[in-house]
Amino acid sequence: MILSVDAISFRYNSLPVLQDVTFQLPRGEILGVIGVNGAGKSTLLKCINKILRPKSGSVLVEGTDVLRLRGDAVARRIGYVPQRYSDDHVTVFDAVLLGRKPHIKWVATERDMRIVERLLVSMGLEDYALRPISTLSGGEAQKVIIARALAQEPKILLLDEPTSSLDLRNQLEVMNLVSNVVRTEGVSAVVAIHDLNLALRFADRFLILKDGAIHAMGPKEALSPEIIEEVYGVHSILRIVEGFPVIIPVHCCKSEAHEGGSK
Amino acid sequence: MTEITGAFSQSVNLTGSYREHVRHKVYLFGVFFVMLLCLALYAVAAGAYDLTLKSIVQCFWGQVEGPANIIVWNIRMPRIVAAVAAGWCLGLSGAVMQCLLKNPLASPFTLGISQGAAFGAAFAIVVLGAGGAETGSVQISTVQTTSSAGPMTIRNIYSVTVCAFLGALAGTLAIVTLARLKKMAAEAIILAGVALSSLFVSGTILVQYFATEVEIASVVFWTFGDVGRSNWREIGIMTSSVLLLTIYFALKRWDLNAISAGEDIARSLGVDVDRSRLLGMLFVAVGAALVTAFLGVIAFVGLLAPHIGRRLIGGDHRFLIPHSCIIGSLLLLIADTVSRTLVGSGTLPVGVLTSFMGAPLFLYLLVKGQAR
Repeated sequence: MILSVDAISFRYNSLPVLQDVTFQLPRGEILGVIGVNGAGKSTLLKCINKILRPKSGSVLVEGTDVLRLRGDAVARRIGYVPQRYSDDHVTVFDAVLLGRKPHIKWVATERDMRIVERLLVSMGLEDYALRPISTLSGGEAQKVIIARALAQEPKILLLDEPTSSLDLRNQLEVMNLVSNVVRTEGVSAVVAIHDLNLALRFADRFLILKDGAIHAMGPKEALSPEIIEEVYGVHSILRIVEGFPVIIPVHCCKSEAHEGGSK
Repeated sequence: MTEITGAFSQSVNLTGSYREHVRHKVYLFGVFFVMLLCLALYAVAAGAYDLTLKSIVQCFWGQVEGPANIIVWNIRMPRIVAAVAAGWCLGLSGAVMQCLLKNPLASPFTLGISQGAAFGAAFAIVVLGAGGAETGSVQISTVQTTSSAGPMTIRNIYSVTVCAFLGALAGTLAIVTLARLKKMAAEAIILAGVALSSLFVSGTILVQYFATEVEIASVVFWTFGDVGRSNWREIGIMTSSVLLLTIYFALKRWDLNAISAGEDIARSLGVDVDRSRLLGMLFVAVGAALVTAFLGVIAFVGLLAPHIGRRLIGGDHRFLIPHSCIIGSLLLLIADTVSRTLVGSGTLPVGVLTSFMGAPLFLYLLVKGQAR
């Protein structure tokens, strides 16, 4: 297992957000983290790479407990793509070069430059290399942020709702990109995602969070209409269309299942 | 990864064009440096007593005695070096504060640090009796305080300086402690700075209410930033602090880039954001406090220099920091030279001019930025 999360718990002040979250992820797979707003998806991601410090538990990457490592040592193992980013004034090349920070001692070496160059080319961003990020479209900017995380040469990639602000085409492009990277570079990805159909299409396995605890976990089949009803309080049906599994929400149930979202 | 790297490097040479792009920024810094040197040389030559290039060179080599030597070493060089060091420090402070607080309005002036210094100075002049008639004599000629001021005046000026420094430091500590204890967001820190600065302004007004006319005049005079106020010893303290600060932030340039990309990104890249913000704010505030304590309130340079820098070379702090510094130096030296040679009889304090230059220039940058 490349990633082993064991009994992670986290509280904001006295409010428990994550309770005893334990899971493993093999190399070269994508884990979709599903749950209502406020279920603890973003918090889980931030606990894995020590942006937030869990109150208890451990996170092993290839057998090393990253919670005991220094920040830059964590950054050489785990790349993170947040929901928000804000460095509009820098060029695309600079933004991706920043991902080399955990490796750079004093100045960026030729190797750092080559890695950035390779990433920009492989993501089709080479024409934008010297343009400020602020001039890019949302999809292109998202690719830059993913490229920055990949420039860290991580073993694990954490993506916090990478498609939430993108149009249909960019959603597909970004998820295809993540999928390709995972298959070809031997990294594993943990993706917090709201779009269940995208998740079904790209994730190899699922972790379904409810009220900060694991409600269900497993391969693709774990995301069943029953589980969706339990977690979201929405009655849905699952169909296979042209080989793609598709969730169709039908109506909201009159249960209290959605309470977790009010936090 | 290396094989793929090799294959791509044949088809495109992004690294090459990037290095070219970076080289332009370095050249631009060189241009600014030469401009600063030329301006400094002009500032040595120009004034009520015109000096030729030859006599300046002779002064630098120690070959001349008499008025030319006194004018160069006791009058003009101190204010030029003070302007360069203070402008550099204010530009640095502004750039670092704007990054750490993620707010384009952050600067020593907007955070209440300058107002804290002004309050400290007012307190020293009125309550401690450090100013009054002695400091009032400064009004006749700002130059005299640096060159031929009596020991009494110097002692008073020192207590004003120390109080101003303490005032500025108190403001800084209040803001940094609030930010630390309450885990305040960067935007809230700016608001706290605004509140604090109006508190200091009120305090200054209160102190002035109990002051004599001469003391009020001294307080008001002190608030006008003036680079001709300090002696070589003070300039030495200021310059060496500025040098240390510059080295510190040069070492932290990647951290600043990470922080400006967003707090979570910075943390995911291994930066201890809270610690960096606390130390960074404290260090730049000490620098700004020193400048304000020695020279008085100089508005807008700290706010403006990073904005001009960002417009010219972008937001990469590896280059934004040095560019903001040298633009700050240039702005302040231009303002001082203009106020000394063009306006009136050479006694207009530079702080008045930076406010006049700064406000419209800042508005222009804002409007132009919006239009883009």
